[in-house]
Amino acid sequence: MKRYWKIVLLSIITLVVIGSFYIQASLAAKDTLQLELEKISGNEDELKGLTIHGDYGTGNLTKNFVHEVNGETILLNNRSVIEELTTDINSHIMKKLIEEHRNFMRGKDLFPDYFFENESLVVYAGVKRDYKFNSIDFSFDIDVLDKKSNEIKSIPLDLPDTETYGWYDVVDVEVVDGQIILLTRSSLVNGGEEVNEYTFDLENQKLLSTEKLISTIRTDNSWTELSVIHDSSIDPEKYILFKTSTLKDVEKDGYFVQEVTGNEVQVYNIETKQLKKIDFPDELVDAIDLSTIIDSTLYVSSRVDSGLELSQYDLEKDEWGEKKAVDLPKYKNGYESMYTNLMNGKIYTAYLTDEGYELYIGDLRTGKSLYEGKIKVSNTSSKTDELYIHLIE
Amino acid sequence: MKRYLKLVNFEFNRFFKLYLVLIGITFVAQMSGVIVESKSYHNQANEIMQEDLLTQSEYVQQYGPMSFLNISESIWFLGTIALCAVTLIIYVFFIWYRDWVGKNNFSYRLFMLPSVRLNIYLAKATTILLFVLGLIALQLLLLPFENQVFKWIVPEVFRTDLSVLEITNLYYLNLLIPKNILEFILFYGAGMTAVMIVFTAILFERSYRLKGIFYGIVYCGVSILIFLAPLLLQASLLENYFYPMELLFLEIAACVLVLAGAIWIGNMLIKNKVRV
Repeated sequence: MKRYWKIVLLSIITLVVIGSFYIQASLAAKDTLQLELEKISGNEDELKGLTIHGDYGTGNLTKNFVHEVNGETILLNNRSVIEELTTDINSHIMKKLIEEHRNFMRGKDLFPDYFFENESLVVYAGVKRDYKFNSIDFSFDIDVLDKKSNEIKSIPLDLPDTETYGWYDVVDVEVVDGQIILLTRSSLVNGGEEVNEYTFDLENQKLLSTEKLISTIRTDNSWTELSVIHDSSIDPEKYILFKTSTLKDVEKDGYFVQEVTGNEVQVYNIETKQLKKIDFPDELVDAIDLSTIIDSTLYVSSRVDSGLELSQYDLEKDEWGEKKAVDLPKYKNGYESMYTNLMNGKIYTAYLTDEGYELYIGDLRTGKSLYEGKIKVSNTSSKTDELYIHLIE
Repeated sequence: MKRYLKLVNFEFNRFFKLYLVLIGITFVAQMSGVIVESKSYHNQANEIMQEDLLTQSEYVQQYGPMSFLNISESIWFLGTIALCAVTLIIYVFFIWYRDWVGKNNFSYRLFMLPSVRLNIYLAKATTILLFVLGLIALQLLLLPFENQVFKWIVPEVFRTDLSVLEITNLYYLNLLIPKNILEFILFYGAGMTAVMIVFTAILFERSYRLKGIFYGIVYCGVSILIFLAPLLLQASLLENYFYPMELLFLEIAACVLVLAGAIWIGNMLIKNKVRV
């Protein structure tokens, strides 16, 4: 045994050091940042299924976290290399689809915009891109899953004139009366953008028609920016919004600056195939990204000094309704001090007060508060901390 | 078993002196690195504060605090780790070839030992693994000391303190020291597979000499191809068919397959083909 002392000693030291390091590491992993919500008023049931994404800064280190309300706070930078590769932090919607239809979901691009689900069907419509030397060949990749029979049908379709497009993407998939409707957005190689509608027959898997809904052009010193606004849900939707802003290069004191010369907001009714212009007040145009449609009412939330203001527009009658105020008396105005999301017929907003972040959940239809609470961080040793919330889903 | 352990001990002692030198260099270089980097930050801070008439907190605001990252990213750290890595990589080859070079052909005596010849192969692999893990343990032992020295030299206002765990999470160190034990085993398992592939390639060369170099290269290529097969298929033919977790398991299976292949072929060569 004496002859072996060197190797035995080295082995023991190695084992003890590496072993104790990993025991320490696994203990430390448990006691990290933890987000907590402290109720001020309302119903805690509103928090069910909510996920908060944000950053937490201590000194010069920023920690990126995902918090499932009433559950664990996961620090994204704390994950190991393999965890980073294998745990996807996809949206709830995608996770649920994968759990329910594991085989159907294989090899799909996991963006909610590419999916549609109702009681009997799941439809996927992605774009396959075949990268060539100086162009991209685009083709549709459409799969339909019949939930009852578990049968999968595919509709292959090559897109014509792909060399004229710089980019091609699906923005929404809907199923109406036995027809699959795809709305696509594409940019042209020589400037400008298009929104096209493709209608397929579900029964025979055949392309019925294509229609150009919107096209913008680019001239030498002016161009148009297009935004497509709709909920990132996979449930049936009846309306989709398009905003086009015309911008121009204007010379001011020797400098060129961009100036918005016009805005237009249009709503497309997917069922009746009608494109209608909405008379949008200028001050609300920038707020349109924060909007949602419930039944046939469009809700737009805009930031005001005292909190938020909800404007509503009736898409059938084409008229603006009464504005509702969401008063957040402790709201401290400033850079990146508020995050708002409209979903499930509710408004969710996390905003900064002098005592830290607070969460407000309100009903869009009635404008009433459903839950208010404080967002607190525990389990941290840091003296200087900064919380920043950038997504609630 | 006893023969195997004796062989491991024998191989271990053959490299031990050089190993101690490696440990010594690492210790001295890293400690000097901590002292030099900390002092230079502190001196520079004092100079700038005097010139620009800044208070300590103003300086930190403008120029940023110092953390252990400034040290672990410096040449003092990267250099020693690279030195240790390169030395061990060279030794992966030398552990075999030293038996053939020199005045008396040692390989002859080694292969005449009354034990299974595969033991020689496994003992050499075990020795490499021990040396690698020993150096990782050394780094883990040094970090808390170095962290403490850093804290002594740089006053608190200028520092962002990191724990040893946080230091190992940063930058390249998380490749040497992954965050959990499972990953550690996977990483070093894959590393040892690579070492064994090289061993078997060396045995090809030792068996068929000049032609063997060609065989060895082909063998390495095939091994790498098998190892990467799941990833290559996923990216080309299967169009992301597998979920990430499934892919990980396939990769582990491919790695085990390649490892088993290396040992099996290595055993055949060392038993029947190797030339003294």
